Amino acid sequence: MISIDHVTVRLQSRVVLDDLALSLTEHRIGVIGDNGSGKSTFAKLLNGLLLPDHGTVTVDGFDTRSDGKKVRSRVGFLFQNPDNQIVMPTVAEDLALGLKPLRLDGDVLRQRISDTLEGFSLSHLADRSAHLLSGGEKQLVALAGVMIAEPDILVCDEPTTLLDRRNAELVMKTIADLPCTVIVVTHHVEHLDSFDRVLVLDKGRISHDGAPDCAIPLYLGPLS
Amino acid sequence: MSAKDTVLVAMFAALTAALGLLPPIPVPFVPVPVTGQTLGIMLSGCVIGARRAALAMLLLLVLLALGLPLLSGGRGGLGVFVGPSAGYLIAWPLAAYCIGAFVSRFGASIGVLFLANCVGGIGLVYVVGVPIMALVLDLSVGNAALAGSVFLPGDLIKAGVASAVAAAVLRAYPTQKNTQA
Amino acid sequence: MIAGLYLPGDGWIHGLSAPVKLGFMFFTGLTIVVISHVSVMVLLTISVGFIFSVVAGLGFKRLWLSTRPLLIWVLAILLAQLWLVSAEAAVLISLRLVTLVWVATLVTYTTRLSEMSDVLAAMCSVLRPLGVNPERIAFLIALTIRLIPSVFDIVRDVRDVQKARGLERAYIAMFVPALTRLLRESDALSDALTARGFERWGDKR
Repeated sequence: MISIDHVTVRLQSRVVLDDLALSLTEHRIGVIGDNGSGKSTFAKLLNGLLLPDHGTVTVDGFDTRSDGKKVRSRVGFLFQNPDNQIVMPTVAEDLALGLKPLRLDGDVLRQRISDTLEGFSLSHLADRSAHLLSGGEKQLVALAGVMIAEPDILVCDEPTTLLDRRNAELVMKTIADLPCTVIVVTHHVEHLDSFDRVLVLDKGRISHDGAPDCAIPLYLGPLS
Repeated sequence: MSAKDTVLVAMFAALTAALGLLPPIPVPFVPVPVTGQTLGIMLSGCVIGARRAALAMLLLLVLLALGLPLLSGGRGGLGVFVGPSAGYLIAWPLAAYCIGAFVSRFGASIGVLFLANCVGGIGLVYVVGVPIMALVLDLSVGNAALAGSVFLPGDLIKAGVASAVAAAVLRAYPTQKNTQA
Repeated sequence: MIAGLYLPGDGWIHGLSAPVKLGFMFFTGLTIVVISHVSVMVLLTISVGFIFSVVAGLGFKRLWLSTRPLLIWVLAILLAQLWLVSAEAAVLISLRLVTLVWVATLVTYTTRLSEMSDVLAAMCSVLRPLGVNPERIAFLIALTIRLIPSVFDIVRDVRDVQKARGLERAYIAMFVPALTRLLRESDALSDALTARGFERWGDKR
């Protein structure tokens, strides 16, 4: 469970998130909002990549400020651009990177990598250069690189923004089928229909919070 | 080292290597082609701070010694460490450190940056490079300095470019995170 | 991807282990520096050249290619020494330079990058008590090699944009956006590393 307790974030003098207080317990949570509404900042708060100026964020009781390492071992993070997330030259090497904290032995390590690749139907890419893959493949490799460490919670910051419609659907479906808790920040509201809860951010505050069939129309409302 | 330190060190080592891959920039009135690598040293020192910049240059030297062709003209390997310009290479980490220390001490105005680049990126590099060149070629230090001075106009231009670029970058990008050593 | 200077081959020099070759290089280097007799130096130069091109099988063309960048220096030596000292000294010093570079280049051409990295790792683990972590250094090297092509692409992209605007000689206009982008990507990359557990690499299980 993630609790956000009266959190304010400022960048220089601008207030990006304004006194947010909520707890996230649902299995599938979507976060939507316009550019500059504070979505990405919200995502980065959840694993302590960014610390609040006021208030606290806790994950399973661990404060992101004082227990950042423990928080990040529980919360996986998928970024918008897989090029920035994939670090090592080949797919298998990159997956191994996510397991480095566990210090596994060679055979166990290789087994876990091949199991994970199989789970994401990426086995055929194991020895390929990660940077020559297509955008959709890269994002799946990045996702596999996060999930191989078996986080309890996955936070995704606009995971489909750089993808075409077909690949976006594939990546979102893969994310939605994961066994862990999933929090997805996105512009693609159509992917959130099956989610348990949708938050709408507007100028640093939560303007709507509820089931997707309720929150999404309220967000889209003024435009249509 | 934090993740941020690690990435910046690798990024600026890569930048300095990449600047050597670009075709040399012809500069009017200078007989020797101006390659970008001195620019890499100066930019690293100005932008990422003394310690990280020195490590980035050291890392680049290690990559060269391991056998990667990362000097301009595709040179690299152990051979470059026994040639006449070995001293200039060895001076790179020192120069980057000196520039960074100078900037964190006296601020990042364009004048200070230019002075730092001249002192660290040119002066210090010559002070280390010239005697070693003299040793390898068995010249007097004076003659070696004379031979080395053909690079001086190009290096001064690079110090100017690096200072202007660094000043603009430090203004354009959240600075407090980058200038700390 | 950046490739090393290593040239595959099946001569016995390729088969020697990296530490042996580095020891050989160090020993020969010392010998070269100590020799003060021209005829001995000529003999040594010829034997190193022979080992380089024939025994190691790298061929005379490679030998020439690794000598070519030195010619301007050799010319400088000849001019300075002929004028100042003697022809003998000039030949000795030129041969010394050429032979040293040949020996070092021979090691680089016949030793795989991975073997050299292993030597480095061994050296670093000696320094472990001083706080040097070989694992982190290996990672730094891998990360840099992976970043070089991306950085090169960024610099070239920005240069193309400036060219399209007719600013191909405006170096400042070219480097500022390139560098700003590098810094932004560094932030993103270090966030990604942190999110993927970088800070826990050194932890005990």
